Amino acid sequence: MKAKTKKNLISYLMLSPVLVFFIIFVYYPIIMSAIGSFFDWTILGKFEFIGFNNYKELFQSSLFRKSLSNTLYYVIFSVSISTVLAFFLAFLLNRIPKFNSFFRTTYFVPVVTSLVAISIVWKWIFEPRVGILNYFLSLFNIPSKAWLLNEKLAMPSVILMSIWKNTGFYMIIFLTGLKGISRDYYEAAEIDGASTWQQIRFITLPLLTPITFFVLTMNMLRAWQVFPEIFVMTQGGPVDATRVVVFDIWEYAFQYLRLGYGSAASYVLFIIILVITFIQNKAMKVKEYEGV
Amino acid sequence: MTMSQKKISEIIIYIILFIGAMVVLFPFIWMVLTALKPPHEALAYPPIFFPKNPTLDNFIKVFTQVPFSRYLLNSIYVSTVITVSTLFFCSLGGYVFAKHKFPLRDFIFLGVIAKLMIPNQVQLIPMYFITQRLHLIDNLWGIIVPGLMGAFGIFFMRQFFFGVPDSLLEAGKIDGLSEFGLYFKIALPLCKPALATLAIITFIYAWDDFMWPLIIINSQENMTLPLGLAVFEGHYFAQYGLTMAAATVSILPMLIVYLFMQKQIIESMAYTGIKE
Repeated sequence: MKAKTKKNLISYLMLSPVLVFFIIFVYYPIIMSAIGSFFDWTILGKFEFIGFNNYKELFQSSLFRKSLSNTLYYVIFSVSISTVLAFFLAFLLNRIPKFNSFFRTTYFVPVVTSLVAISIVWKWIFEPRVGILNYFLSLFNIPSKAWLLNEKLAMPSVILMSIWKNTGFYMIIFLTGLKGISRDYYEAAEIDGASTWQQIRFITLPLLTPITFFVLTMNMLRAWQVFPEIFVMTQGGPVDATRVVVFDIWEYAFQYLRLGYGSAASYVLFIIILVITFIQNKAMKVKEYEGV
Repeated sequence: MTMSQKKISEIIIYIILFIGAMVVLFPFIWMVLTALKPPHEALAYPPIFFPKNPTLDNFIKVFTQVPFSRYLLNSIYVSTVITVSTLFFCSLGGYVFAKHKFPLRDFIFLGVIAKLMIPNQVQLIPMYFITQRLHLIDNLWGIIVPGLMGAFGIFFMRQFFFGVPDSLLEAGKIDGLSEFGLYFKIALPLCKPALATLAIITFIYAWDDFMWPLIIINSQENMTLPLGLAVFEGHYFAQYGLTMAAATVSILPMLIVYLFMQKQIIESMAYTGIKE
């Protein structure tokens, strides 16, 4: 009995850094901002209970609704296009005998390069007067566009960059999945006279469903939290056309110093992310991860 | 499909992949070319592709007008400390969760991995006050402390410690090792590949962290590379030769490391994708 107590104490002692860290730096802040979201809370020490008023104000605010719909727009297009493209590239890459690692290495470069740096580079590419993108388009007689300075084109431009930046990552994940599918299936299908398209439709896609689902949810979690590229490229403009939820949270809390309001906005994001994760877990039956 | 059809489709695939590779690489090439141009060439229209009078002026200015080497050192310092600390604390935590039995173990573990579902933005505001309380606002340690360990690392290391046979630990116990000794001298050395993977992932994410430094760092000498770069771009936004030189300098260290360890880096990052 004594020995067992001692053993437990040793376990807790070894775990104490984790316990202390998670209590102070993870759960205390999470709970504190949950409470704070129901208070009129300012940096000057005001802390007054106002019930659901922050949430009410958020959903009545046309600015926040705009941020939500902008983010949703970004999520839908950034996620769907990069996922399809990643699958397409992985599929092609899986069919060639040579230069495999060259293409893998190349497509992965944007993934490991600094997001802020690359956002600045794209800002230069999108430059309206002397930018290289407008120059390339002018070769095909397409008139110059203002890209990041145009209300309608700003978000598509940011999405374009996100596709360029992230596709390589999801491509590698698809590729790992594709490598796991035995060649025998394709050979058998080929003998039966199945076309390439039929092979994709009836062999590759069904066997890849868990991976596809996974890429989609991961991609969505990333996209809902988009921030640095917006901060660098557009600051949410022009005319709030690229305002996203995390930008709002940052601005409410650290520019306008409305901490309760900012906390409420962060909880709205939390709930969205929770729903996505929940759907993912439901569909994936995460049990397979437990134990080895 | 006949042999020649197969050859043709292969050639088409190569062409598509090659065009794709060009699209991926072009922004980097354009960045470096612009960085090497004097101002009037950088802003010329139609654009001049290769600099006529290549110059390193932009690079020199980046290092002389702002403390860019300081940003670089700060980034290396912050990312290294975060990586070392994450390796130690996450492996220790993962080991205890995998190999020890004690009351509330599974409940506590659930509490740790629940964090994987909670976006960091939820913690931002109270974290600011905690950092203030610790007198770490505008201090590199203010960036480091919230990154000392993470839920993913603990979860990740736990998976690997499950694979360490209990018989080895029993043998160590007979040899008189303490519980900490069993972890440090027996289990940990067996998980080196996992530690390498975790180190790569942690370092890359720490290196690129932007939002938290943006919130707590004010002075130039405490900025990390992404923050310093964003501020620099804000000051010199129309001087594209200059901003491209700054971007080049920020991208280069990671790119060099990547070229030497590409296989390991790709595999490590793909691992987070598949197992997270």
